[in-house]
Amino acid sequence: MSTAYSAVGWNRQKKIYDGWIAIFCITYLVLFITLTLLFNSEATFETILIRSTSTLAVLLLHIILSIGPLTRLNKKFMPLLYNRRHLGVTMFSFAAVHGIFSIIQFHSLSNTNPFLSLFLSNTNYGSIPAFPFQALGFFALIIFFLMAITSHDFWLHNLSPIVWKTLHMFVYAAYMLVAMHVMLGVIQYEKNPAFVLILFTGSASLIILHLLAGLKERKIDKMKFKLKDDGFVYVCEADEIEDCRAKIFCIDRERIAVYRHENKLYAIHNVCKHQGGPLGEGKIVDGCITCPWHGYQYLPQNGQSPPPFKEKVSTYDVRVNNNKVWLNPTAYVEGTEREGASL
Amino acid sequence: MNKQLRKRHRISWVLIGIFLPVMILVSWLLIPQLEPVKAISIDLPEAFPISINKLERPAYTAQLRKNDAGELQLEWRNELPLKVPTAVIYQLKEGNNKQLIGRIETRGIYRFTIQTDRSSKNIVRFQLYDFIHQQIIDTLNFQL
Repeated sequence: MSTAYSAVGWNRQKKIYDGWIAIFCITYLVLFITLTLLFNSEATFETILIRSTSTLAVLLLHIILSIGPLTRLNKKFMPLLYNRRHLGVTMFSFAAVHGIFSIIQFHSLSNTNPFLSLFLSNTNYGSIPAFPFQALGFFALIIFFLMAITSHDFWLHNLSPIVWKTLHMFVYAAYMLVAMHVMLGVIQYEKNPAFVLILFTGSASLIILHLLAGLKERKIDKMKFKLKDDGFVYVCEADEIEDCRAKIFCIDRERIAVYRHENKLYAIHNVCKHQGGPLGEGKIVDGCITCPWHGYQYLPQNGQSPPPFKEKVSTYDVRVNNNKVWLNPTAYVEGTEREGASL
Repeated sequence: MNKQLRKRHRISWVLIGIFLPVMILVSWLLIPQLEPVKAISIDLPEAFPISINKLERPAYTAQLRKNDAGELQLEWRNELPLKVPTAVIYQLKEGNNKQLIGRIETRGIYRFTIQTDRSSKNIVRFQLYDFIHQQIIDTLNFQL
Protein backbone atom coordinates (compact mmCIF):
# COMPACT_ATOMS: atom_id res chain seq x y z
CA MET A 1 0.00 0.00 0.00
CA SER A 2 1.20 3.52 -0.62
CA THR A 3 -0.14 7.02 0.03
CA ALA A 4 1.97 8.76 -2.60
CA TYR A 5 4.38 7.93 -5.38
CA SER A 6 7.32 5.85 -4.37
CA ALA A 7 9.52 3.58 -6.39
CA VAL A 8 8.68 -0.12 -6.46
CA GLY A 9 9.33 -1.58 -3.00
CA TRP A 10 11.26 -4.77 -3.58
CA ASN A 11 9.96 -7.02 -0.84
CA ARG A 12 10.96 -10.68 -0.67
CA GLN A 13 7.90 -11.89 -2.54
CA LYS A 14 8.50 -9.47 -5.43
CA LYS A 15 12.14 -10.51 -5.66
CA ILE A 16 11.16 -14.19 -5.85
CA TYR A 17 8.46 -13.41 -8.42
CA ASP A 18 10.82 -11.41 -10.59
CA GLY A 19 13.53 -14.02 -10.17
CA TRP A 20 11.21 -16.63 -11.65
CA ILE A 21 10.29 -14.30 -14.49
CA ALA A 22 14.00 -13.79 -15.28
CA ILE A 23 14.72 -17.53 -15.15
CA PHE A 24 11.76 -18.28 -17.41
CA CYS A 25 12.69 -15.63 -19.97
CA ILE A 26 16.39 -16.53 -20.07
CA THR A 27 15.60 -20.25 -20.41
CA TYR A 28 13.18 -19.55 -23.23
CA LEU A 29 15.61 -17.31 -25.11
CA VAL A 30 18.50 -19.77 -24.75
CA LEU A 31 16.31 -22.64 -25.96
CA PHE A 32 14.94 -20.64 -28.88
CA ILE A 33 18.37 -19.46 -30.02
CA THR A 34 19.91 -22.93 -29.68
CA LEU A 35 17.12 -24.64 -31.61
CA THR A 36 17.16 -21.96 -34.31
CA LEU A 37 20.90 -22.34 -34.79
CA LEU A 38 20.52 -26.12 -34.94
CA PHE A 39 17.63 -26.26 -37.39
CA ASN A 40 17.95 -23.03 -39.37
CA SER A 41 21.58 -22.25 -40.04
CA GLU A 42 20.62 -19.48 -42.49
CA ALA A 43 19.14 -17.33 -39.70
CA THR A 44 21.06 -14.15 -38.99
CA PHE A 45 21.58 -12.54 -35.58
CA GLU A 46 18.92 -9.90 -36.35
CA THR A 47 16.39 -12.54 -37.39
CA ILE A 48 16.99 -14.60 -34.26
CA LEU A 49 16.66 -11.50 -32.06
CA ILE A 50 13.43 -10.38 -33.72
CA ARG A 51 11.87 -13.85 -33.61
CA SER A 52 12.95 -14.87 -30.12
CA THR A 53 11.70 -11.67 -28.49
CA SER A 54 8.42 -11.73 -30.42
CA THR A 55 7.56 -15.31 -29.55
CA LEU A 56 8.52 -14.74 -25.92
CA ALA A 57 6.29 -11.63 -25.75
CA VAL A 58 3.35 -13.56 -27.25
CA LEU A 59 3.88 -16.42 -24.79
CA LEU A 60 4.06 -14.01 -21.84
CA LEU A 61 0.89 -12.27 -23.05
CA HIS A 62 -0.97 -15.60 -22.99
CA ILE A 63 0.32 -16.33 -19.48
CA ILE A 64 -0.70 -12.86 -18.27
CA LEU A 65 -4.19 -13.14 -19.70
CA SER A 66 -4.72 -16.59 -18.24
CA ILE A 67 -3.78 -15.63 -14.65
CA GLY A 68 -7.03 -13.73 -14.00
CA PRO A 69 -9.47 -16.56 -14.87
CA LEU A 70 -7.19 -19.19 -13.32
CA THR A 71 -7.39 -17.44 -9.96
CA ARG A 72 -11.20 -17.27 -10.27
CA LEU A 73 -11.28 -21.01 -10.91
CA ASN A 74 -8.60 -22.09 -8.43
CA LYS A 75 -7.17 -20.06 -5.55
CA LYS A 76 -3.81 -21.85 -5.81
CA PHE A 77 -2.94 -19.54 -8.71
CA MET A 78 -3.38 -16.44 -6.54
CA PRO A 79 0.38 -15.88 -5.99
CA LEU A 80 0.74 -15.37 -9.75
CA LEU A 81 -1.74 -12.51 -9.62
CA TYR A 82 -0.02 -10.55 -6.88
CA ASN A 83 2.67 -9.04 -9.14
CA ARG A 84 1.09 -9.64 -12.52
CA ARG A 85 2.03 -6.12 -13.58
CA HIS A 86 5.73 -7.12 -13.39
CA LEU A 87 4.99 -9.76 -16.00
CA GLY A 88 3.18 -7.14 -18.05
CA VAL A 89 6.12 -4.74 -18.03
CA THR A 90 8.47 -7.62 -18.92
CA MET A 91 6.23 -8.62 -21.80
CA PHE A 92 6.14 -5.01 -23.07
CA SER A 93 9.96 -4.81 -22.87
CA PHE A 94 10.41 -7.87 -25.11
CA ALA A 95 7.68 -6.66 -27.48
CA ALA A 96 9.45 -3.28 -27.66
CA VAL A 97 12.80 -4.94 -28.48
CA HIS A 98 11.03 -6.90 -31.23
CA GLY A 99 9.34 -3.75 -32.58
CA ILE A 100 12.44 -1.55 -32.50
CA PHE A 101 14.69 -4.11 -34.16
CA SER A 102 12.03 -4.91 -36.77
CA ILE A 103 11.82 -1.22 -37.68
CA ILE A 104 15.62 -1.01 -37.89
CA GLN A 105 15.82 -4.21 -39.94
CA PHE A 106 12.98 -3.57 -42.37
CA HIS A 107 12.42 0.21 -42.50
CA SER A 108 15.60 2.11 -41.70
CA LEU A 109 17.60 1.71 -44.91
CA SER A 110 15.54 3.94 -47.19
CA ASN A 111 15.17 7.72 -47.47
CA THR A 112 11.67 7.50 -45.95
CA ASN A 113 11.12 8.05 -42.24
CA PRO A 114 11.04 4.54 -40.70
CA PHE A 115 7.66 5.15 -39.05
CA LEU A 116 6.16 6.42 -42.31
CA SER A 117 7.71 3.46 -44.07
CA LEU A 118 5.99 1.15 -41.58
CA PHE A 119 2.60 2.38 -42.78
CA LEU A 120 3.36 3.21 -46.41
CA SER A 121 5.70 0.48 -47.62
CA ASN A 122 2.69 -1.80 -47.97
CA THR A 123 -0.64 -0.08 -48.61
CA ASN A 124 -2.78 -3.15 -49.26
CA TYR A 125 -5.16 -2.20 -46.46
CA GLY A 126 -8.10 -3.61 -48.41
CA SER A 127 -6.64 -7.09 -48.77
CA ILE A 128 -6.64 -9.71 -46.01
CA PRO A 129 -3.77 -11.91 -47.28
CA ALA A 130 -1.57 -8.93 -48.21
CA PHE A 131 -2.61 -6.75 -45.26
CA PRO A 132 0.21 -4.61 -43.78
CA PHE A 133 0.38 -6.64 -40.59
CA GLN A 134 3.22 -4.60 -39.09
CA ALA A 135 0.79 -1.73 -38.46
CA LEU A 136 -1.28 -4.07 -36.24
CA GLY A 137 1.76 -4.89 -34.14
CA PHE A 138 2.61 -1.19 -33.90
CA PHE A 139 -0.79 -0.29 -32.45
CA ALA A 140 -0.67 -3.22 -30.03
CA LEU A 141 2.75 -1.99 -28.88
CA ILE A 142 1.33 1.51 -28.27
CA ILE A 143 -1.37 0.00 -26.01
CA PHE A 144 1.21 -2.09 -24.13
CA PHE A 145 3.39 0.99 -23.76
CA LEU A 146 0.53 3.00 -22.21
CA MET A 147 -0.26 0.10 -19.89
CA ALA A 148 3.37 -0.36 -18.88
CA ILE A 149 3.99 3.30 -18.05
CA THR A 150 0.76 3.54 -16.02
CA SER A 151 1.25 0.24 -14.19
CA HIS A 152 2.47 1.91 -11.00
CA ASP A 153 -0.07 2.70 -8.25
CA PHE A 154 0.84 6.36 -8.65
CA TRP A 155 -1.09 6.37 -11.93
CA LEU A 156 -3.95 4.36 -10.47
CA HIS A 157 -4.51 7.10 -7.89
CA ASN A 158 -4.04 9.96 -10.33
CA LEU A 159 -6.09 8.61 -13.21
CA SER A 160 -8.84 7.23 -10.89
CA PRO A 161 -9.62 3.50 -10.76
CA ILE A 162 -12.33 3.76 -13.46
CA VAL A 163 -10.09 5.47 -16.05
CA TRP A 164 -7.14 3.24 -15.12
CA LYS A 165 -9.17 0.04 -15.42
CA THR A 166 -10.72 1.17 -18.72
CA LEU A 167 -7.27 1.89 -20.12
CA HIS A 168 -5.96 -1.47 -18.96
CA MET A 169 -8.93 -3.31 -20.45
CA PHE A 170 -7.58 -2.25 -23.84
CA VAL A 171 -5.27 -5.23 -23.37
CA TYR A 172 -8.04 -7.29 -24.98
CA ALA A 173 -7.97 -5.10 -28.09
CA ALA A 174 -4.17 -5.37 -28.05
CA TYR A 175 -4.45 -9.16 -27.84
CA MET A 176 -6.69 -9.24 -30.94
CA LEU A 177 -4.19 -6.99 -32.75
CA VAL A 178 -1.29 -9.27 -31.73
CA ALA A 179 -3.15 -12.40 -32.85
CA MET A 180 -3.85 -10.87 -36.26
CA HIS A 181 -0.30 -9.46 -36.48
CA VAL A 182 0.95 -13.02 -36.08
CA MET A 183 -1.62 -14.55 -38.41
CA LEU A 184 -1.21 -12.07 -41.26
CA GLY A 185 2.52 -11.70 -40.80
CA VAL A 186 4.38 -14.76 -39.65
CA ILE A 187 2.01 -17.19 -41.25
CA GLN A 188 2.58 -15.61 -44.66
CA TYR A 189 6.25 -16.55 -44.50
CA GLU A 190 6.26 -19.68 -42.37
CA LYS A 191 3.96 -22.23 -43.94
CA ASN A 192 4.30 -24.79 -41.18
CA PRO A 193 0.74 -25.35 -39.85
CA ALA A 194 2.21 -25.81 -36.36
CA PHE A 195 2.35 -22.01 -36.03
CA VAL A 196 -1.37 -21.65 -36.73
CA LEU A 197 -2.11 -24.56 -34.41
CA ILE A 198 -0.07 -23.06 -31.56
CA LEU A 199 -1.75 -19.66 -31.92
CA PHE A 200 -5.19 -21.22 -32.25
CA THR A 201 -4.61 -23.42 -29.17
CA GLY A 202 -3.41 -20.43 -27.15
CA SER A 203 -6.38 -18.30 -28.14
CA ALA A 204 -8.87 -21.12 -27.61
CA SER A 205 -7.43 -21.86 -24.14
CA LEU A 206 -7.73 -18.22 -23.15
CA ILE A 207 -11.27 -17.92 -24.46
CA ILE A 208 -12.38 -21.11 -22.68
CA LEU A 209 -10.70 -20.11 -19.40
CA HIS A 210 -12.30 -16.67 -19.42
CA LEU A 211 -15.74 -17.99 -20.32
CA LEU A 212 -15.56 -20.67 -17.60
CA ALA A 213 -14.53 -18.07 -15.01
CA GLY A 214 -17.30 -15.78 -16.25
CA LEU A 215 -19.89 -18.55 -15.90
CA LYS A 216 -18.69 -19.28 -12.37
CA GLU A 217 -19.03 -15.63 -11.44
CA ARG A 218 -22.43 -15.44 -13.08
CA LYS A 219 -23.65 -18.28 -10.84
CA ILE A 220 -22.70 -16.23 -7.77
CA ASP A 221 -24.50 -13.21 -9.20
CA LYS A 222 -27.65 -15.30 -9.75
CA MET A 223 -27.87 -16.55 -6.14
CA LYS A 224 -31.44 -16.41 -4.80
CA PHE A 225 -32.22 -15.74 -1.15
CA LYS A 226 -35.89 -16.40 -0.42
CA LEU A 227 -36.06 -16.21 3.38
CA LYS A 228 -36.46 -12.58 4.42
CA ASP A 229 -37.19 -10.96 7.75
CA ASP A 230 -37.29 -7.26 8.57
CA GLY A 231 -34.89 -6.31 5.74
CA PHE A 232 -32.53 -9.21 6.52
CA VAL A 233 -32.08 -12.25 4.31
CA TYR A 234 -30.95 -15.68 5.43
CA VAL A 235 -27.62 -16.49 3.75
CA CYS A 236 -26.01 -19.53 5.43
CA GLU A 237 -25.26 -21.40 8.65
CA ALA A 238 -22.67 -19.71 10.90
CA ASP A 239 -20.32 -22.70 10.94
CA GLU A 240 -20.05 -22.61 7.14
CA ILE A 241 -17.74 -19.61 7.54
CA GLU A 242 -14.18 -20.48 8.60
CA ASP A 243 -12.34 -18.36 11.14
CA CYS A 244 -10.45 -15.42 9.55
CA ARG A 245 -12.16 -16.19 6.24
CA ALA A 246 -15.33 -15.08 4.50
CA LYS A 247 -18.22 -16.19 2.35
CA ILE A 248 -19.43 -14.01 -0.49
CA PHE A 249 -23.13 -13.39 -1.16
CA CYS A 250 -24.63 -11.46 -4.04
CA ILE A 251 -27.84 -9.73 -2.97
CA ASP A 252 -29.61 -7.08 -5.07
CA ARG A 253 -26.70 -7.13 -7.56
CA GLU A 254 -24.09 -6.27 -4.94
CA ARG A 255 -21.49 -8.66 -3.55
CA ILE A 256 -21.05 -8.69 0.20
CA ALA A 257 -18.30 -10.52 2.10
CA VAL A 258 -19.23 -11.89 5.53
CA TYR A 259 -16.06 -12.40 7.57
CA ARG A 260 -15.60 -14.41 10.75
CA HIS A 261 -13.10 -12.86 13.18
CA GLU A 262 -12.65 -13.44 16.93
CA ASN A 263 -16.06 -15.16 17.26
CA LYS A 264 -17.93 -12.38 15.51
CA LEU A 265 -19.29 -11.94 12.01
CA TYR A 266 -18.73 -8.74 10.04
CA ALA A 267 -20.05 -7.78 6.62
CA ILE A 268 -18.32 -5.46 4.18
CA HIS A 269 -18.59 -4.65 0.48
CA ASN A 270 -16.67 -7.26 -1.50
CA VAL A 271 -14.88 -4.89 -3.90
CA CYS A 272 -11.41 -3.58 -2.99
CA LYS A 273 -10.89 0.14 -3.64
CA HIS A 274 -7.48 -0.49 -5.19
CA GLN A 275 -8.19 -2.53 -8.30
CA GLY A 276 -11.56 -4.10 -7.54
CA GLY A 277 -10.15 -7.26 -6.00
CA PRO A 278 -12.56 -9.70 -4.28
CA LEU A 279 -12.09 -8.94 -0.56
CA GLY A 280 -14.14 -12.00 0.40
CA GLU A 281 -11.52 -14.26 -1.18
CA GLY A 282 -8.79 -12.88 1.04
CA LYS A 283 -8.21 -13.54 4.72
CA ILE A 284 -7.69 -11.68 7.97
CA VAL A 285 -4.03 -10.85 8.54
CA ASP A 286 -3.01 -8.96 11.71
CA GLY A 287 -6.67 -8.16 12.40
CA CYS A 288 -7.24 -6.69 8.92
CA ILE A 289 -9.15 -8.06 5.96
CA THR A 290 -6.45 -8.41 3.31
CA CYS A 291 -7.25 -8.26 -0.39
CA PRO A 292 -5.90 -11.34 -2.19
CA TRP A 293 -4.87 -9.35 -5.25
CA HIS A 294 -2.43 -6.75 -3.95
CA GLY A 295 -2.62 -6.89 -0.16
CA TYR A 296 -4.74 -3.76 0.50
CA GLN A 297 -6.16 -3.96 4.03
CA TYR A 298 -9.42 -2.98 5.77
CA LEU A 299 -10.62 -3.26 9.36
CA PRO A 300 -13.58 -5.68 9.56
CA GLN A 301 -15.61 -3.56 11.99
CA ASN A 302 -15.67 -0.35 9.89
CA GLY A 303 -14.30 -1.16 6.42
CA GLN A 304 -11.54 1.45 6.76
CA SER A 305 -7.91 0.96 5.87
CA PRO A 306 -5.68 1.31 8.93
CA PRO A 307 -4.06 4.80 9.22
CA PRO A 308 -2.36 6.49 7.40
CA PHE A 309 -4.27 4.92 4.50
CA LYS A 310 -7.65 6.37 3.59
CA GLU A 311 -9.45 3.71 1.55
CA LYS A 312 -12.95 2.81 2.82
CA VAL A 313 -15.60 0.31 1.81
CA SER A 314 -19.27 0.02 2.82
CA THR A 315 -20.30 -2.01 5.84
CA TYR A 316 -23.53 -3.97 6.46
CA ASP A 317 -25.57 -5.27 9.35
CA VAL A 318 -25.32 -8.95 10.08
CA ARG A 319 -27.00 -10.99 12.82
CA VAL A 320 -27.00 -14.60 13.98
CA ASN A 321 -30.06 -16.47 15.28
CA ASN A 322 -29.80 -20.16 16.18
CA ASN A 323 -26.60 -20.54 14.14
CA LYS A 324 -28.35 -18.98 11.10
CA VAL A 325 -26.66 -15.98 9.51
CA TRP A 326 -28.92 -13.11 8.42
CA LEU A 327 -27.59 -10.25 6.33
CA ASN A 328 -29.10 -6.83 5.62
CA PRO A 329 -28.07 -5.77 2.08
CA THR A 330 -28.62 -2.06 2.77
CA ALA A 331 -25.17 -0.54 2.72
CA TYR A 332 -23.94 1.92 5.32
CA VAL A 333 -21.82 4.87 4.26
CA GLU A 334 -18.27 3.71 3.53
CA GLY A 335 -16.25 3.41 6.71
CA THR A 336 -19.27 3.25 9.09
CA GLU A 337 -18.52 1.37 12.31
CA ARG A 338 -20.67 -1.75 12.89
CA GLU A 339 -20.55 -3.88 15.97
CA GLY A 340 -20.61 -7.28 14.29
CA ALA A 341 -22.73 -10.27 15.28
CA SER A 342 -21.54 -12.43 18.18
CA LEU A 343 -21.56 -16.18 17.64
CA MET B 1 -14.58 -6.54 -9.49
CA ASN B 2 -18.01 -4.99 -9.32
CA LYS B 3 -20.93 -6.27 -11.35
CA GLN B 4 -20.44 -3.73 -14.14
CA LEU B 5 -16.79 -4.65 -14.56
CA ARG B 6 -17.57 -8.36 -14.54
CA LYS B 7 -20.19 -7.79 -17.23
CA ARG B 8 -17.67 -5.81 -19.31
CA HIS B 9 -15.15 -8.64 -19.06
CA ARG B 10 -17.78 -11.22 -19.97
CA ILE B 11 -18.93 -9.27 -23.04
CA SER B 12 -15.31 -8.72 -24.12
CA TRP B 13 -14.51 -12.42 -24.00
CA VAL B 14 -17.74 -13.47 -25.69
CA LEU B 15 -16.87 -11.10 -28.55
CA ILE B 16 -13.26 -12.32 -28.65
CA GLY B 17 -14.54 -15.90 -28.53
CA ILE B 18 -16.69 -15.26 -31.60
CA PHE B 19 -14.46 -13.05 -33.71
CA LEU B 20 -10.91 -14.24 -33.01
CA PRO B 21 -11.29 -17.89 -34.15
CA VAL B 22 -13.19 -16.68 -37.24
CA MET B 23 -10.46 -14.14 -38.05
CA ILE B 24 -7.70 -16.71 -37.55
CA LEU B 25 -9.42 -19.23 -39.81
CA VAL B 26 -10.28 -16.68 -42.50
CA SER B 27 -6.66 -15.42 -42.52
CA TRP B 28 -5.33 -18.96 -42.77
CA LEU B 29 -7.64 -19.84 -45.64
CA LEU B 30 -7.02 -16.63 -47.59
CA ILE B 31 -3.23 -16.62 -47.42
CA PRO B 32 -2.02 -17.89 -50.79
CA GLN B 33 0.02 -21.08 -50.62
CA LEU B 34 3.26 -19.65 -51.96
CA GLU B 35 6.63 -21.24 -51.64
CA PRO B 36 8.45 -19.91 -48.59
CA VAL B 37 11.12 -17.32 -49.26
CA LYS B 38 14.57 -18.85 -48.73
CA ALA B 39 18.07 -17.73 -49.45
CA ILE B 40 19.42 -19.12 -52.73
CA SER B 41 22.55 -21.17 -52.22
CA ILE B 42 24.72 -22.15 -55.15
CA ASP B 43 27.25 -24.95 -54.84
CA LEU B 44 30.80 -23.67 -54.82
CA PRO B 45 32.81 -25.00 -57.76
CA GLU B 46 36.01 -26.92 -57.01
CA ALA B 47 39.20 -24.86 -56.90
CA PHE B 48 41.44 -25.20 -59.96
CA PRO B 49 44.66 -26.96 -58.96
CA ILE B 50 47.34 -24.48 -60.07
CA SER B 51 47.76 -21.13 -58.36
CA ILE B 52 49.04 -18.46 -60.74
CA ASN B 53 49.03 -15.32 -58.69
CA LYS B 54 47.63 -13.92 -55.47
CA LEU B 55 46.69 -10.38 -54.35
CA GLU B 56 46.00 -9.62 -50.70
CA ARG B 57 43.97 -6.77 -49.24
CA PRO B 58 43.02 -6.21 -45.59
CA ALA B 59 39.44 -7.42 -46.08
CA TYR B 60 39.84 -9.94 -48.87
CA THR B 61 42.23 -12.05 -50.92
CA ALA B 62 41.96 -12.70 -54.65
CA GLN B 63 43.78 -15.59 -56.29
CA LEU B 64 44.00 -16.49 -59.95
CA ARG B 65 44.07 -20.25 -60.65
CA LYS B 66 44.16 -22.46 -63.70
CA ASN B 67 43.51 -26.09 -64.53
CA ASP B 68 45.31 -28.58 -66.77
CA ALA B 69 43.23 -27.47 -69.74
CA GLY B 70 44.46 -23.90 -69.27
CA GLU B 71 41.12 -22.50 -68.10
CA LEU B 72 41.32 -19.65 -65.58
CA GLN B 73 39.47 -19.28 -62.30
CA LEU B 74 39.23 -16.35 -59.89
CA GLU B 75 39.03 -17.37 -56.23
CA TRP B 76 37.77 -14.58 -54.02
CA ARG B 77 38.07 -14.98 -50.26
CA ASN B 78 36.22 -12.37 -48.14
CA GLU B 79 37.97 -12.40 -44.76
CA LEU B 80 35.73 -9.59 -43.48
CA PRO B 81 32.32 -8.44 -44.72
CA LEU B 82 32.55 -5.70 -47.34
CA LYS B 83 31.68 -2.20 -46.18
CA VAL B 84 29.08 -1.94 -48.95
CA PRO B 85 25.87 -3.99 -48.94
CA THR B 86 26.70 -5.78 -52.17
CA ALA B 87 29.33 -5.55 -54.88
CA VAL B 88 30.05 -7.08 -58.27
CA ILE B 89 33.24 -8.10 -60.05
CA TYR B 90 33.89 -7.18 -63.64
CA GLN B 91 36.66 -8.51 -65.81
CA LEU B 92 38.17 -5.54 -67.63
CA LYS B 93 38.74 -6.01 -71.34
CA GLU B 94 40.37 -4.14 -74.13
CA GLY B 95 39.03 -0.66 -74.88
CA ASN B 96 36.94 0.18 -71.81
CA ASN B 97 34.89 -3.00 -72.19
CA LYS B 98 34.08 -5.02 -69.13
CA GLN B 99 32.30 -8.26 -68.47
CA LEU B 100 30.30 -9.08 -65.35
CA ILE B 101 31.60 -12.24 -63.77
CA GLY B 102 29.85 -12.41 -60.40
CA ARG B 103 28.62 -10.89 -57.18
CA ILE B 104 30.36 -10.64 -53.81
CA GLU B 105 28.33 -10.36 -50.62
CA THR B 106 29.04 -11.73 -47.16
CA ARG B 107 32.15 -13.31 -45.68
CA GLY B 108 33.24 -16.50 -47.46
CA ILE B 109 34.82 -17.97 -50.57
CA TYR B 110 33.64 -17.27 -54.13
CA ARG B 111 34.98 -18.90 -57.30
CA PHE B 112 34.35 -17.73 -60.86
CA THR B 113 35.51 -19.20 -64.15
CA ILE B 114 37.23 -16.58 -66.30
CA GLN B 115 37.26 -16.30 -70.06
CA THR B 116 40.77 -15.77 -71.36
CA ASP B 117 41.24 -12.71 -73.45
CA ARG B 118 43.80 -12.94 -76.21
CA SER B 119 44.31 -9.21 -76.24
CA SER B 120 45.16 -9.10 -72.57
CA LYS B 121 48.92 -9.19 -73.09
CA ASN B 122 49.48 -11.56 -70.18
CA ILE B 123 47.50 -9.40 -67.75
CA VAL B 124 44.07 -10.23 -66.41
CA ARG B 125 42.33 -7.26 -64.81
CA PHE B 126 39.33 -7.17 -62.49
CA GLN B 127 37.27 -4.41 -60.99
CA LEU B 128 35.28 -4.60 -57.75
CA TYR B 129 32.32 -2.27 -58.17
CA ASP B 130 29.66 -0.97 -55.76
CA PHE B 131 26.64 -0.73 -58.03
CA ILE B 132 24.40 0.91 -55.40
CA HIS B 133 26.69 3.88 -54.88
CA GLN B 134 28.10 3.52 -58.40
CA GLN B 135 31.77 3.66 -57.47
CA ILE B 136 34.85 1.54 -58.05
CA ILE B 137 36.03 -0.10 -54.85
CA ASP B 138 39.19 -1.73 -56.13
CA THR B 139 41.03 -2.76 -59.31
CA LEU B 140 43.15 -5.91 -59.38
CA ASN B 141 45.74 -6.80 -62.00
CA PHE B 142 47.06 -10.36 -62.29
CA GLN B 143 50.17 -11.16 -64.26
CA LEU B 144 49.82 -14.47 -66.06
